Amino acid sequence: MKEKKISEDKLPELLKTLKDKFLVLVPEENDGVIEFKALGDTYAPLPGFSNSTRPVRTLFHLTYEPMFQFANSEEGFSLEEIQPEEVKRVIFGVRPCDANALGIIDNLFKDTYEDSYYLKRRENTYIIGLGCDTHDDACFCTSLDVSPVFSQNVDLMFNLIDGTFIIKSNTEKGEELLLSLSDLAEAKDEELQKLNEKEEKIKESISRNVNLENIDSRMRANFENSSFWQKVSGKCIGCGICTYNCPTCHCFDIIDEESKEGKGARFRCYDSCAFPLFTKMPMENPRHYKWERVRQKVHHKFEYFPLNFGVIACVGCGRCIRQCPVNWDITEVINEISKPDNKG
Amino acid sequence: MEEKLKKEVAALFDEKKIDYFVGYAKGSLMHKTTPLITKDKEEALKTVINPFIYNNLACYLRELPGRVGVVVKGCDSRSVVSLLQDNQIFRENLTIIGIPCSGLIDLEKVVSGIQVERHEITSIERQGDKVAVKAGGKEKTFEAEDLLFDKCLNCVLPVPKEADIMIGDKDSPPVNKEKSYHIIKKLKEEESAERWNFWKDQFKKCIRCYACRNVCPACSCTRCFVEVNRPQWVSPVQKWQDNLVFQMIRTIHVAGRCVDCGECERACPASIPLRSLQREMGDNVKELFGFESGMDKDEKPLIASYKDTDPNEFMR
Repeated sequence: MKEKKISEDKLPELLKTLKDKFLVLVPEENDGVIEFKALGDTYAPLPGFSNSTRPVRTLFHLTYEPMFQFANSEEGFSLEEIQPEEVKRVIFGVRPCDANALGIIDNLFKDTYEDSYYLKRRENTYIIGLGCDTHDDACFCTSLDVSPVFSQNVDLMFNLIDGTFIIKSNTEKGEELLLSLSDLAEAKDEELQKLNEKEEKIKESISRNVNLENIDSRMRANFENSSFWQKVSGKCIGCGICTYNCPTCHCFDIIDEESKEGKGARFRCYDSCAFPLFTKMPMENPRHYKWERVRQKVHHKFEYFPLNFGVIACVGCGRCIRQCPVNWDITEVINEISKPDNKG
Repeated sequence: MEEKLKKEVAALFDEKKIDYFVGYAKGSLMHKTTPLITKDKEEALKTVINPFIYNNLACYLRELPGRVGVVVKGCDSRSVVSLLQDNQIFRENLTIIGIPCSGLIDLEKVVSGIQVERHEITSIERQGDKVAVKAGGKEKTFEAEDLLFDKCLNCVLPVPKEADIMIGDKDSPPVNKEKSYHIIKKLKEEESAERWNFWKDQFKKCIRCYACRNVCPACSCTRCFVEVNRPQWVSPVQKWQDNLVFQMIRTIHVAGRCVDCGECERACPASIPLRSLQREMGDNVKELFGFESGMDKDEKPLIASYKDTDPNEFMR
């Protein structure tokens, strides 16, 4: 389908139309935190560069969710499965990096075990991407081959060019969504040309760079280099910001909560490899030292995930750098991992 | 100041007085700094001093082996003293390098003041009571007290007391108690139901990343109560109730140790005004027990001392 367009000031109206059929979520700023919230009376775009404080994956893989509830009484033991509510959602304003990240973790959630919680939400959600007009100094999407203006994992992609949104449909779901909207004009070739120019301009201006040349062999060769990991992990305080707010991290814990009356529920909730208690319940945390936990995080993204699914689990959104209380910088660490000799 | 610091650090390495240096280096993001922990003299000379040296480096002292030279601002020095009082670290292993502090600039306040994003701001310069900010074509001068962290405006100890080496002369941030306390004051004026709703909403935002705990030098437990799971004290499920209980217990645990360095609030990715809780607790401690954290290393810690004048209404 050819790209469509809509004038910038018509966007609130368009989103309002969608509200009749869907739960429409848009980014909203409150108290210094940008979150996707249900669209209110009208849509107010956020100024300048902005991305949600937490990645959009937190709307699919929830911080915590009940899996089943149980009751233990004189009549016996009962179990009731809890599945997520089937709500048709439209998420507007998803940045290309975060959309790409969904594509990456889809691999895991639909692997040997199909995760119904995540996958049902994916199925019931229309992702409308919003291309970046600018970036900040933590962004490094271009290093990971993520375009700042498009992602294969959106249904529709919006890009603002001179007061007009160019709309590209990327999936059948996207086309279905476009058709449900009143007739939109087709974008002109020169507008598409301008979009290409915008993309090139942003790509050029992103200077943060991570060197991924021979990354797998470099990572492997450096694994045992404990003095390297001790050094680079020195200033890390071992909190969970970079994992909890990472668009590709996905570790969780399973917890039962029971009341005195014997009623309760089993929850799945976020957990982080940065924590000493990680995996302590099923067996033991094999990573006793902070440097081992830091190494795990980096290796999982840049070595193990690619081994399992053929793709690096990083999209360069920059949150782990931007939000870090000590400015720990994963790009510096990756770039410092020495290049291997050419023997492969 | 920076040059003097570098000279002192080089001398400490040359005279083999320290194994590690803990200071600040230029960060990888505009205007930010990052903790610098190194055994290497050359690397240590990358150390910087500027109004953005946020981190309270005392939080690293417990984990570093050997003799450590550490850079401290006034508030950080109180954390060091508090750790000494608690026998968590040993004075003979430390070379404390004190920096008299005229206050730290809060980048968020700069951004909202000039309405330009952090990475686009070209320079932020402290000039006495003023701060000059340049961004693109814009240039604006602010009163320093409008851009400093709230905590700095009621600083108890701008010049570190317990220091072996002092870099620079006396310095102190402007005092504006009202500004420093604006959130606390507003909360205190509210009805308790309103206040309850406020904190309930705040802790709905909490993701339990524990950054507040991990940046905090006063949080010195080897195993935090949230990591004790047999029995489970607090559920790891990130519901607001458990989030709030975690923070309430943390607040009480750091009573008599918290020095109002404000790092918990700065580190919080959910922008929860945590300092209001900690500062209020600190003020309560002072009012009830006449104790101010981290002022004198030879004083007994609050929890380990008893005075006839301690309030004891609860025993009646």
